[in-house]
Amino acid sequence: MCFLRKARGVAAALARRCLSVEARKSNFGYEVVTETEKTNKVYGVFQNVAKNYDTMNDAMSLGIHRWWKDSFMRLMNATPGIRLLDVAGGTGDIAFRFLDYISSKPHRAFQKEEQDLSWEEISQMYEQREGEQSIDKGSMVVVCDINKEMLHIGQARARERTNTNGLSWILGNAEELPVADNKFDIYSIAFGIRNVTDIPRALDEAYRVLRPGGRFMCLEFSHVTNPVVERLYDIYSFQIIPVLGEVIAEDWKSYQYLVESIRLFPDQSAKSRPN
Amino acid sequence: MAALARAALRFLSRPSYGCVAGASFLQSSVRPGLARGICTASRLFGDAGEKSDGTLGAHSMQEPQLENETKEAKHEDDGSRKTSHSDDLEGEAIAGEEFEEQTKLRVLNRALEFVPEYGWSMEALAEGAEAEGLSAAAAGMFEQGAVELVVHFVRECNTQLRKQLTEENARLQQEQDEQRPVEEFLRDALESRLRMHIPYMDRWSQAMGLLLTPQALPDSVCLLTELVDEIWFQAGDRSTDFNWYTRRGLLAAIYSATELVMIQDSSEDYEETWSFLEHRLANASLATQAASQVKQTGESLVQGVIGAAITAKNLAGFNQRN
Repeated sequence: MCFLRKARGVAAALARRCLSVEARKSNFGYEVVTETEKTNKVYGVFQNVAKNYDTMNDAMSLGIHRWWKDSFMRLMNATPGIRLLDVAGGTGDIAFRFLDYISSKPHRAFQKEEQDLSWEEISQMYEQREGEQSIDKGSMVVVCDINKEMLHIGQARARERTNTNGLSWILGNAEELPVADNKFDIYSIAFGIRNVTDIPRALDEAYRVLRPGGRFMCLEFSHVTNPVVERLYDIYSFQIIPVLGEVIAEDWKSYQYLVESIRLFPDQSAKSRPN
Repeated sequence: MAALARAALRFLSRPSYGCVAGASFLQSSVRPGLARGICTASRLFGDAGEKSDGTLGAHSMQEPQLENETKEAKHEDDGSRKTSHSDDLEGEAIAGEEFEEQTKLRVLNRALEFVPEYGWSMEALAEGAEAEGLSAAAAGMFEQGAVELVVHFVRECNTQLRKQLTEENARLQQEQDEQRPVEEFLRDALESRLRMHIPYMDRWSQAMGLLLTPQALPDSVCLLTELVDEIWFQAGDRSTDFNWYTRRGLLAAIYSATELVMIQDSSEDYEETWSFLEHRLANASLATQAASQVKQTGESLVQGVIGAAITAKNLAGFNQRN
């Protein structure tokens, strides 16, 4: 009896939730859709672009996106032992850079230090360093993405790399991470948060999985402040990028969605206000 | 009461506050103020450089850092709830800022314990953060990284020295003791300041290097000027003319030189450093004496030349009245 009542209550709550989610509107580019539609459409976009994702990134940004991601890494300034959760990081750009950054740290520290060791001590140090990995300190990076295709591409790229210690891949939604509380030191989301349907929920999840003192890092497109550059940027975005999409990836609509979603994302001042 | 009077005297006689009794009022209010102005300007310039780096054109990198919103902060914010929503936000923002400042101080102080092992670096800050119970990523709060750690340490040393010297002077005042000779006072003050580096001596050359990097330069210059100003003030210097600059400049040079000597000193309890310091101070006082002698000689020379010129005019007949 009690069980039936509970089950009815749960079912009613679910139904209410489904209805309310159906009714809530969201933006898919400039098109207004319901939230579930948005999730599905975004999924579709990335399913289509996965294979050409990296090539398109290079073409659209003229290779500058590598520079942005390298700066992002420098800003992150990770020390060995840090655990990173890279959300919406399908093809693994940030994760690979993180692994490279961590493993290059001891080398850099060594260069700065002892300048006048004897040759025997130096050769000893080299032998030591081959054995020790910063993974001994517990560094790891988990790449989470909602899209299986993007993860497959990432895993294929990982197979071509030499150093993948500490790297793992999980399939998950940023709004509902399959991760326990207080697990990670850094949560990063590069060019992914504007594709999330319910951003406040994603932020809540980020707060949940981060340890006290942990760091939330978001790399995202935003608005151009200079009006002249803005004009040029608009022309580039709306006239050139979708054409590139059609020529390279044979997908005009996905790239139309891309530039529209960039325009709709809140600008710098709105993002930094607490709400 | 005596302390209050001393504080008032200190406030009034600080050249930079521009209120000094005496004939040199205008002179002192403008020129010493220049030193403070330079210090502030260099700080502002450094800040402006940082700000312009933070905003890029076509994209922006965000890090709404969750230290402001960690669980402890939520408890603290509950105490500062106000009526309207915007007041709420402002109150939260202020409480969040204070919390961030306190957290930064906690991590910095803790990180100093790890400096002998990891040097002045992000690793030391990360270990400090871990030791405080936060994630190692909290060291990311310090955008300038190791530089902030060194600057914090130097500032702490200066504060400690100020306390020490104030207490000592208060004690001397109370006991009505004779004021020590200036040279001895300077020597003791510099020695106790330099002794604060001893626990970190192995890594101090790295720290000195960090203080010379462009990010740190405004702060390190300011800290040095504040240090020598403090020492001279406590030594009893109330000068209001150019001596104010000469004395502080000399002391800054002596301090820097002694610091360098101390790094490579391997004698027992740094004896060679202290004897170097004594010799430099002795040279300096000789130099000021010599300078004033030269000035006197110079003045008399000038007078002699003027006299000779007048005599020549007389002889040539230009000064006659017909």
